[in-house]
Amino acid sequence: MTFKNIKDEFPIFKNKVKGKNLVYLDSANSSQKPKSVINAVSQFYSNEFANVGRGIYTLAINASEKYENTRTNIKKFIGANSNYEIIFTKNATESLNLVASCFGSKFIKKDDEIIITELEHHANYVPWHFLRKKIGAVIKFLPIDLNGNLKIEELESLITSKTKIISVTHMSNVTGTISPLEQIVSIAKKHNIPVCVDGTQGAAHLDVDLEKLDCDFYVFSGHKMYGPTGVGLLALKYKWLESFEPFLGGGGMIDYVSKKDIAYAKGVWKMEAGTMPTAEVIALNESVNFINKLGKDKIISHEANLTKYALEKLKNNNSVKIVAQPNQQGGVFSFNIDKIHSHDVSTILDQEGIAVRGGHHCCQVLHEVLKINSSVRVSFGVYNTEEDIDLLCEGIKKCQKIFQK
Amino acid sequence: MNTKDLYQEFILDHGTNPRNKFKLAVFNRNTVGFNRLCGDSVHIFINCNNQNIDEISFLGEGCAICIAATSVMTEILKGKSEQDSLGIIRFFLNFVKKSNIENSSALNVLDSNKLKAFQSIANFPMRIKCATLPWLTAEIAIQNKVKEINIEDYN
Repeated sequence: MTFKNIKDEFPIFKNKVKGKNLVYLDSANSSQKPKSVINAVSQFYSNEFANVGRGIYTLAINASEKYENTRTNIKKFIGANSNYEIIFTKNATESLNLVASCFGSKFIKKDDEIIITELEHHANYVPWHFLRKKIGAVIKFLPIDLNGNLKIEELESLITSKTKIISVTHMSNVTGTISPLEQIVSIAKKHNIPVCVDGTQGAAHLDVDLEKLDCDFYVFSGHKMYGPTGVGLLALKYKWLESFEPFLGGGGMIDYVSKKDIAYAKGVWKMEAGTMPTAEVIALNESVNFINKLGKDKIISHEANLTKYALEKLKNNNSVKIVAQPNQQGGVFSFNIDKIHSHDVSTILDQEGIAVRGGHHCCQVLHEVLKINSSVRVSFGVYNTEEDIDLLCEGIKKCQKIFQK
Repeated sequence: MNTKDLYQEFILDHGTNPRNKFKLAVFNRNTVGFNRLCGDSVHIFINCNNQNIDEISFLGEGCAICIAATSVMTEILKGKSEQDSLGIIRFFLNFVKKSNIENSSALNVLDSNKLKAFQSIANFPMRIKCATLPWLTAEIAIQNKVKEINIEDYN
């Protein structure tokens, strides 16, 4: 498989939007799905469906095996060694809520401190805010500079004896800033503080090697890596899985239930209560295969080239202000056009078949820090081309033409 | 339906050069309305005497549609009675959703023509709240109900 004809793998690009070819520049929101993933959902429901982990008949055994195959494949995909386990959840948001809730209820007391950053998506802030409200924990923000780089040199000074966890994004969904995770983990280790990484933007677009990184938690979602919606992931060190109380209670997460007491299941099953998004987990395996076939390193350079091309091209337009240009940037950036609001830009581009997101992208703190109300975001996936960027630039000129009147 | 219907010259004029965009020195009603989905916010200031809107102004951040709707609204409501204003507000809120003009008796021809510019918003469902935000906020302000509203809670 190569990038040249990659759009053929994605049925959505056969459709027209407002009579135009779809220019999809919103992969940071959710990625489009290749045929192999869509077919896997259909194949499972058509020929192989049974609930997993319960029945002992052939269909159920085979479904359970496929479900576990995804877990094994995902482990390999993120370089998780035997120290780690993978839990399936509903989405990355649920994974972060699980970490905050389970870690918080066991290890965070009043006045204890949680460090996050100014880059975080609301999903990596609100769950910690719950602990601030419920327990009286304190949230500290690692600041960024004007270019959207984390001021990593200030991390050490934020850490005190009360710091219980550091939770940080792998890559900003607004500025594309890639966090210096190795440095963060190494500083945290000196103080014996666990690190949770929100890898929602990282998993499909950046190198992920948990064995090397050695963070405690790595959170991501299926739908942003060319997989189905409804399935999130949490990689965590086994010691945390063992020490956590279950997040949700119900069927499938128990060993033994009597009127007097209940014994919970061990391992990942403790955290997977009720019927899981079975078809989604099974189809997710195909999205991992899809990424592996293309090759992560090739994907990284493909998206880096697109970002470089786009930023160079947009430089020629004096009315376009890039929100921040960090030193380490993935395939995401945001901009504003002088005197035109992001939602007006988004509506006008939509008429050209161009899908971008306008607004604060679930990052109000970041927008406040950058002193902007909202922005237009461009985010790349494997299917994007330089032509997409050329069309974006033409679309931007149309916005300016309309507003120049 | 096309972008030019939405971004008419009149809307762009008010959207980029809004009228009455300042804080009144004297006011007795004020409400902030915000749209949590996009971050738009408008703060409406009204000075009401003897059930009449003597002065109305606003401060705010938002898209061209939102700012134009606010600017035009302040022009129309200024000098109207509270009762007429509430009628016009309800008229506008229905009008942008359905885009059919049934005349409100409180609207003169000039006002009606201004509002007609917002007719095609009904074809852009994702943008209706951009236009309704200031009007809903003004409605609450006139009724002197609350100081802050989230547009998601109102219709």
